[in-house]
Amino acid sequence: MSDRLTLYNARLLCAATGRDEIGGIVIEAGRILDLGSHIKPHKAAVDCQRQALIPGLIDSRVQLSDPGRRDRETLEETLSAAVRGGITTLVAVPAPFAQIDSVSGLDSLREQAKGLALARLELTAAVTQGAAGAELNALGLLADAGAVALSDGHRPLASSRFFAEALRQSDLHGLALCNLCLDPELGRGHMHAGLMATRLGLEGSPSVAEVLMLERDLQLLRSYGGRYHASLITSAEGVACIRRAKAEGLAVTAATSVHHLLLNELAVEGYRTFVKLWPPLRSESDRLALVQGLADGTIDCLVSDHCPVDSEAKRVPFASAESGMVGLEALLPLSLLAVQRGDLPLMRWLDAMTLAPAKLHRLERGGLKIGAAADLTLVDLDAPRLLDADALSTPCRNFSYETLPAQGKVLKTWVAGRCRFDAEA
Amino acid sequence: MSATAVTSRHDPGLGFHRQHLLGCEDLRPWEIEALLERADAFADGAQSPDLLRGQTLINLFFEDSTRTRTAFEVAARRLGADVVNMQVASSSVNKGESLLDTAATLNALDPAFLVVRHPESGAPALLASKVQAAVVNGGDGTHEHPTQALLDALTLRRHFGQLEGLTVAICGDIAHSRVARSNLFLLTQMGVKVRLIGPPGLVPAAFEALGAEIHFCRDSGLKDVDAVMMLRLQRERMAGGQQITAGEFFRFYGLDAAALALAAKQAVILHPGPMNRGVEIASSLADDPTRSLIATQVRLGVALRQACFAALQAARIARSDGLELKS
Repeated sequence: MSDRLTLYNARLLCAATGRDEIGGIVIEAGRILDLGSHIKPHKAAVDCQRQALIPGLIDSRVQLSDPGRRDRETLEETLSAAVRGGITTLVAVPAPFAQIDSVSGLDSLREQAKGLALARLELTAAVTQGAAGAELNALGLLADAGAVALSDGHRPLASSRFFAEALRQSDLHGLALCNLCLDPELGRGHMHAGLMATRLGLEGSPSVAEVLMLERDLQLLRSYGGRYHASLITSAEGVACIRRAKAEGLAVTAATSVHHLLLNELAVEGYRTFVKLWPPLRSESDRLALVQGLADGTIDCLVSDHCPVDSEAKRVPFASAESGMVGLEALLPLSLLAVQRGDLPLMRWLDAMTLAPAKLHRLERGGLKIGAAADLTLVDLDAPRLLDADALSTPCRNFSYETLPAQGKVLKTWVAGRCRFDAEA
Repeated sequence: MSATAVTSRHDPGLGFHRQHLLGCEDLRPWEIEALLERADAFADGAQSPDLLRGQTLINLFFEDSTRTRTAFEVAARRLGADVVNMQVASSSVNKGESLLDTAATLNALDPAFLVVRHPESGAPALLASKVQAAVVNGGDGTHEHPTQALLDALTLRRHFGQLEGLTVAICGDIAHSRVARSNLFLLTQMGVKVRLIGPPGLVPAAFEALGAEIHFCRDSGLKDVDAVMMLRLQRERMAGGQQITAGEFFRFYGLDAAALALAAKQAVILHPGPMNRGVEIASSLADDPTRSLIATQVRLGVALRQACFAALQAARIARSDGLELKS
């Protein structure tokens, strides 16, 4: 009884049930005990002042820098930034400095995260060793160790043979096989192959490089079965391809990053390495197709693709610069821009950031229901703000939205019923 | 041709006011005019041996180049500057010193001018944002080589009397050529019709949006042009997959007498150098004094670079005098 917490006078939003009503949630022992418009306040309750109370966000693509480059960002800094951003579960994918390709590696990360008691950490295990594409990992053991998906993360799984094998194995263990679709040869380059790349004298990577691998992946899915997730779609043709595949009834889902939703290749003007992303930002018509795809559900999830890079690796000529942007703390206000512009319905936004990623990884989260873990975020959906790299809590400030006015502020974040972030504290 | 000195004080008639010369893409016609007029004066014999006295030019070359470096050196010395050549060998890059660390070191030496040649597009721009010196882009990756395009324009202008109305064909490895880009940007600003000729893999379609006419067929591309600029295959910048053999290239895109005959009757030949004789251009044509302006390009290259230094110097003085700058 003593740890019961009541949150009342909140705008309850849930994509699972379509709930949008003023009410409250009662939390006990880390779980939702009761919720609805009938919840009444009492002495120790928290008045949510009509702000939106949503299931904690689930960011299903985050690149850790721990253990490889702890100077960039430690696991604690990552998970802390997550709760500041209203994210209660983050799914790390194999990254240059965090391989996630051994049982011991997985165990170590999970133990650390548990001990830190900030955002929950789930892990996508690498299909090949070191995500190098040369040798297959022991996928069964990794699934057993708690991996929530299989993927080579920051690298495309180029070998069709490995892909097919991984499809079969992932199916056996009930996991989705994810892939970053980019043909390794044709997809080489430093930015999107378009007018901007030609003007700047930079090698460009064409959209067809994405479609090529995506269509190969879908073909193998048809042949071998399983569940497939396109990790980061960036092109209009890619969206169209996913749409056709879903219409066909294939077990496919897709994601795009919040940056690809908001920016296009023009952002690179002047060799701005802070917007050097991989896969690259593409043309405006690609961006618009991504927005439409997210709105109509062709693209299921919205991710941050959080990737800390220190300024030394960014302040070099464009071709040599590392790609990536941090995004955990800004995921919410950035993604809300699409809602505010009228391009994305609020419920679809919520679904893309909570329920859809939960379904992808078969997590019993992402919704407000009795018995579910009390992972909650209290958000002022309308609070205006300027996103400022200096206000980020992480050491790496590779972030590029200074002049963009946004709305949306995380007020409090609860993980398992405990408040892990309070904007007023 | 009198030996008139070009004044160093702010000349209100000239329109170049930039701190750096990083490329041709942003240059406006009056800025280009200003540079070409200054260059004309130097080419006609004007001397200013004290213009840059006490100032230092540092040639910061991350890529091999004797001819360009020498041209900049001669130009600066003729204006009285001290010159330091830094050939940044790949080993020092391997030692991990970043471009910006190099810049910081140089900044401390307080040079007035830095000429930077770098294998990566955008490197001089990055440097320019971090140093006080006037940065001249001596060629960055496949992006721009503004002084080359300016001297090409100067060569053409002196030969034809004006640039407007000319049709110029640039033929070769366009995709990897910073000379092609700079020329395209500059010549289109000055009312020249530019045709880009080359094999499909080496002439990106995006160039059409930048104002060029694209030809994959040499013969149709060369028809009636006033000038032909030949470029060599930039193998060192090809990432592979775009390889075309020398023989194949010469057969379909090289400039020989038969191809030149398709151009205007007294069409001239340009080449930024170095030339691969028999690959993009027949030897006989390269050496034909009645058609080839290649030697003239080299000669005018010094005058042009003197003009660039002088203009940057004038701009710096105007800035320090607090004059309002228009660009």
